[in-house]
Amino acid sequence: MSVFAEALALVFQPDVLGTVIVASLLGLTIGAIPGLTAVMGVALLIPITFFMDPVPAISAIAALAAMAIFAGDIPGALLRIPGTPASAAYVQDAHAMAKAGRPERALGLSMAAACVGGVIGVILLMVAAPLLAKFATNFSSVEYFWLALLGLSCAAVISTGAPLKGVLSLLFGLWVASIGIDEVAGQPRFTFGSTELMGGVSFIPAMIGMFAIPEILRNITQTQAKITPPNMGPVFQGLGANLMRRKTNLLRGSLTGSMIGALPGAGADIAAWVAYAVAKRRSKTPEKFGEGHDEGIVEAGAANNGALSSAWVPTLVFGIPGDSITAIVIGVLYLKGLEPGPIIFTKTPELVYAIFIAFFLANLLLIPFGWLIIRISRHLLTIKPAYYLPVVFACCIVGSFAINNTAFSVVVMLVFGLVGWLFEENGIPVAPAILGIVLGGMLEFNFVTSMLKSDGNLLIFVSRPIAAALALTVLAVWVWPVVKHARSRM
Amino acid sequence: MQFSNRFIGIVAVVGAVAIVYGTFGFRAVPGQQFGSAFFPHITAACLALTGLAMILGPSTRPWFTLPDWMRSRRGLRAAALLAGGIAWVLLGPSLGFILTTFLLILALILLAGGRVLIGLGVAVGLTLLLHVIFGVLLRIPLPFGVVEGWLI
Repeated sequence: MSVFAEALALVFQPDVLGTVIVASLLGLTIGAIPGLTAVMGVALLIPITFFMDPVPAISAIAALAAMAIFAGDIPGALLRIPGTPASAAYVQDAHAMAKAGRPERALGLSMAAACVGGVIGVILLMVAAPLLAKFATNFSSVEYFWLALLGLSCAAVISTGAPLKGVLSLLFGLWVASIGIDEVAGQPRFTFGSTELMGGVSFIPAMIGMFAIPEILRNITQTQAKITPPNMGPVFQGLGANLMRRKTNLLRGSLTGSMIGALPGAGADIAAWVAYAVAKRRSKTPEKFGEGHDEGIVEAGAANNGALSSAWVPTLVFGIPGDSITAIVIGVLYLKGLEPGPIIFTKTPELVYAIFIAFFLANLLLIPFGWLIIRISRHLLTIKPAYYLPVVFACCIVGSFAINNTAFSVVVMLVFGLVGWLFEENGIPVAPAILGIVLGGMLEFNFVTSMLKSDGNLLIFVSRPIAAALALTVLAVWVWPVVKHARSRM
Repeated sequence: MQFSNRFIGIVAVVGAVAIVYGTFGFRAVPGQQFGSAFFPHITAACLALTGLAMILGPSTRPWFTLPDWMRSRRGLRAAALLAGGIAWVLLGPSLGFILTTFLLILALILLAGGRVLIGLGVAVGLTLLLHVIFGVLLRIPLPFGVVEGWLI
């Protein structure tokens, strides 16, 4: 049986399909509820996927994320509250269109754009990942060190508004990653005498805390206004013609998103903002943007789902997360005993293809499920946060407990939740810290291994052409904000 | 709770010093040039530099600002949420998963302004759903208590 047929057989199992459907519905609900993000949804799903086989686990994550990113457009259009940060770029246009009595047009366009963008992102993933994996088989610890540093640098410096705070968050994550027994010397570090910390800070409870608790706290402390979403007309009426009219935006947004998503550390949020800016710059009617124009909705809507799929390229090939969701995925792959990297393509190619197929499936399901959620969104949006926030909190507690069967994990979740909330309150991004926790071990291991190999000679880090090129790229990432800052002061 | 950039910078520098202090107890491995303290030292150095940059950089905020919601009932909700989490950890082993989770959800719903009857329904429904998913299907040894005893 060929690898592809084997992968098809792995995905088209009743349990996998059932898991994908349940995860999709969960993703749609989470995305459609204002304040609950795709990353939080994935974080909450992990404790359940922890007990699954790799294929249903990864398929569930892919389906939930794709659905949640699209569903985030629903409260954006109907209430002007982006359900996920990736919907924020075009919320003004979508809401203006809904206010003008055409919410179904805004949501229909974003649903179709999300589907096309997602499928193009998967195609890029299917083409680029195996090619890059072949190329990456020659990488040594030096190249992996630079790749890890590149991912962390992009997340800390480029993806955030305040690079210094991004760096601070990253360093916090790197310190947390050093807690527990040191892999090289076998010595406990920063465990404060706790046996629970010997194995390091449990990644999943920490991540649930940092992503979910700040959102719950933020929502529970807000005054909730009475919500009255507008009525919805037929979603598919005129959708094909509208899409054909915007086919250039659709294609350009999908490609822009897919390419941005494939960069380590850059995710769907950045892709959507960049695509929206490109759409405005290339438009014949830029003055209409922000007033209910569909070009931005189509282009940025395609970009965020495209980025979501292609973010798996660096994740699977190098073990470097493309965004926060894939940072969580890397943690899951390690927990399942699957080390992401070029080896995964030769050792378990059927699994890689199964992931590709699961992504296709999730993006195609966007149309029927998306239609369903658009139809019932009016009712979903009227659920009071007083009812669903305590429910989400209880899920955080049980999910954290389930990972190690210990209440200590719940304490870890609460502590990291408090840290995450303090970070958010002070404009310190959370994602670099999570990436630091995930990649810290890899960064240290490859750095120390290279230093030991070269007997302390730092020149080893630029001794190979690819390593030198990567070093220059990392340098550019760090120098770029300094140059930008200096220019702005001139 | 917002702090000025200078305050955050000071915390970063103190954190860096604490990391270095924490490495003093690490024993050197004979024959190994780069021991357990090597990487934490690099992290601490970067942290100290970032902290210094924040201290020396512009800072317009006051040292410490308490948001308005913290002084109102909404602040109580946030405190109750965290206290609820701690209570779950402390009371779970004696009360059991079902009772502790039910009480936690109900208390938070009522405190957030939900109605009693709906709150009761949501709390009972979700507690049982979580018990079935995690306790029965995934076989997680959830804290055992009085209600679990009745169910068996």
